[in-house]
Amino acid sequence: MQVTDTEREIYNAESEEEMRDSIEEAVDENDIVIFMKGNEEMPQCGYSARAVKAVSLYEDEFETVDVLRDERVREVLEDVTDWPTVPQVFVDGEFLGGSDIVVEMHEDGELEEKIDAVA
Amino acid sequence: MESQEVSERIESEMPDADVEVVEEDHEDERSDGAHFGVVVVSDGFEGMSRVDRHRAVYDALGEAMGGEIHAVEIRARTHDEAEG
Repeated sequence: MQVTDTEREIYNAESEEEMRDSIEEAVDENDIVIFMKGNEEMPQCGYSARAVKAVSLYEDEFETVDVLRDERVREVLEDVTDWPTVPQVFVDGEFLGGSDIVVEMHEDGELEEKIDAVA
Repeated sequence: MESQEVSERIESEMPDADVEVVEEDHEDERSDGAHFGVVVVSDGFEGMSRVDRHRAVYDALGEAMGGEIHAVEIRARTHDEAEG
């Protein structure tokens, strides 16, 4: 699996503070970011696959960050969002939640609204 | 962790909540931790965002999250929403 520029920036962090900054930068600079196990083509967990699938209904292009390649990412991410599990989906800098919430938002039409507003 | 313990933990932290564990999967417990699906109905969720409702449930489960428990699917509703 190829490492994206966004991922490289995060994995290259030399301290937790640096990683936190890189994560926040990734969230700020990209319309849609999904922190997940695996990537879009090969999700390594059913919940990550579900989040990707829901987002993909409305937009093909989004960033993913594989949390399995660097075990620090999950810890730092949990610190940032106060959320203990992955996937974690961000749209327009806003933390939407995990797969349950994203699927609920899809069912309610809210996910489409959020994504249409940025993509 | 058994489903009864999951619902007890949530109920002890959220006394007004009705908790139902609707799904339980221990198949990959050794590698991954168990999976649960829970429906939590509480009027305490009124006015809370989806994210905050889920955080409240995660907080009730405490340290087990990410450890013994790999994932919890959460449906968090108020009584009105659950009936609606």
